[in-house]
Amino acid sequence: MEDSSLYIRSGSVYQCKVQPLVIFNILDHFTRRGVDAEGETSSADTRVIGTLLGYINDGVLEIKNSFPVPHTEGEEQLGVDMLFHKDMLKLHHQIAPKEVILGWYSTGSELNETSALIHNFYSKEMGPNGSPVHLTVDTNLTNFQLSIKAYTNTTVSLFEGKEAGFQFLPLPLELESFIEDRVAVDALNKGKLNAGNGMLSELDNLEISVNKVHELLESVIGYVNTVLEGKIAADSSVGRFLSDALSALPKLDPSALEKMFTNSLQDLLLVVYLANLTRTQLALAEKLQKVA
Amino acid sequence: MAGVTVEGLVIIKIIKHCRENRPQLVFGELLGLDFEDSLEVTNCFPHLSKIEEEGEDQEKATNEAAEYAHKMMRCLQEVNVDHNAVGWYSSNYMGKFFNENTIETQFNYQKRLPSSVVLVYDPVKTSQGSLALKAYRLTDRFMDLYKTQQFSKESLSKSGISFDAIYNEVPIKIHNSLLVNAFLSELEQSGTNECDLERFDLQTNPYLEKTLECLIDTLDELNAEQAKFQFWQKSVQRQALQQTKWQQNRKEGEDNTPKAIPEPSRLDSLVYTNQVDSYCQQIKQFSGNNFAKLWLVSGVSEN
Repeated sequence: MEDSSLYIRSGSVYQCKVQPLVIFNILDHFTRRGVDAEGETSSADTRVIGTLLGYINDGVLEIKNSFPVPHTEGEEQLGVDMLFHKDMLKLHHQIAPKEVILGWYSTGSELNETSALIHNFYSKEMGPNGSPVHLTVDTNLTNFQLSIKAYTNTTVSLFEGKEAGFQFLPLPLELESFIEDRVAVDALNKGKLNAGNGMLSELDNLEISVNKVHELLESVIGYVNTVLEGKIAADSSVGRFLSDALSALPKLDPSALEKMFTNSLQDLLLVVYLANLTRTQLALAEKLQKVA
Repeated sequence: MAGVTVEGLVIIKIIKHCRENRPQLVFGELLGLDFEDSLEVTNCFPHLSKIEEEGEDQEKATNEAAEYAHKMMRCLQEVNVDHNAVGWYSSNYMGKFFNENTIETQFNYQKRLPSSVVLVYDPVKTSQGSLALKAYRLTDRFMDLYKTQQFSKESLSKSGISFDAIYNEVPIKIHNSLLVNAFLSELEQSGTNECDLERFDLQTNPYLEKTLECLIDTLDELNAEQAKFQFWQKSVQRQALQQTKWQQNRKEGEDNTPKAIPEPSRLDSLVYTNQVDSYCQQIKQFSGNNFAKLWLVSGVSEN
């Protein structure tokens, strides 16, 4: 009999993309978890939860934003501040009306009964067909990793139509960042190293990039040389990548390049000259006004 | 003021807000702490976009925006976020942001909160590979001048304000919590965060063209202001001439004091001059970087 077999309904969502902002938000929320009901500073075990917002596109979840939701977890009770959740959601919809609730996040890596309860609450919030996603960030840094993970629920039913409960199922997760995000994250990373020195100028950034490319080239040359010397076996896939990279280089006549170079240089010089001229005029006008 | 410390979270939030409303300009509130001589910006939230309508609707929109900001602050306070306003942020393109509106808004902020700043973010420049985020404040001298609302030639020269003394830049420092730093390190290791290619972009023309266009527009505006001022000078002269003529052959008991012609506000021309200056500096900076890139390319091609 087919009906007696175990049904595992796979969700309509098969991939999950998260933007760095969401992780920043979660970490900030955790840092500011503050005091608990007894007025004591919460320990690192206390978890914080919040709502995830974003879009669903062809089965791909794009988590774009999040906001914290205060909650209390006791021995046998769970309280989620519904009113706060509703207020905040309304405020967010005034700015980005298209972002819908996608699920919830919590810190810590544990999935327990309370997680299931909160998950139930969010599936009610999302309507009848909603299957919320649950994002966990391990703020205790077990194994020295934040291990960001996403889960969705699959209903476990013993007979068709009768739900016995649900199970958390891991979802493939990908960090999605746009070019501006990448640049900002890079600037933040550099800021971490030279704390207190402010931001790097464009020229400094260029220098870093050049050095990086230089290092990459050195390591490639080193690799090619060891292969040529016969120390390690040649890997054809690496070879293909290398030849692809080399063929991506446009073949340019040296004279054409020279011409392009001088043209650009002349353009730039002219513009700089004009800009300086304008500034001189301004300074002159300023002086004349003072004298007059 | 020594500087402003900005949390990474704020930067990422501003970028997101700006990206999702492109090409519209966006505005938002900065939250944080004012600590001795430095300012810490630890969070922010977007403002409702302004609806450009006259009359009742505009008033309604303003009220709605105020109510929204108030509610948002209360909500954030509940989750332990710093709920002191310390300034505002705005996105802008090609560096044309210091217009009268910006000055007025920043003036109001600085009047209310003397240490407040405006963070200006340029998405175009950022997508070229370098984070373009600047913090500005109006200078004290300009604040005094703006308070009087007197922008005649005389009051300007009396206060000794020149076009480059309207505002000054405040250095930005970036600060992150340890957890965020851990996340950043993970991102760096994962290698999904490359932005080196954008930095090698050699295409200078679109950006320069656009900046030059803006520069020319502003110069035109400046010219118009200048013409307005000259026209006023001429009419004042003409009036004085008429007055002397009339006095020479006036009869007893007649009184004919002419009305003074109001002097046009010099604020506009001051702002335009400043704008022109900042465009020029922008061009110089941009070209400077591109010279470096060009020589780099020529060096590479020679080898």
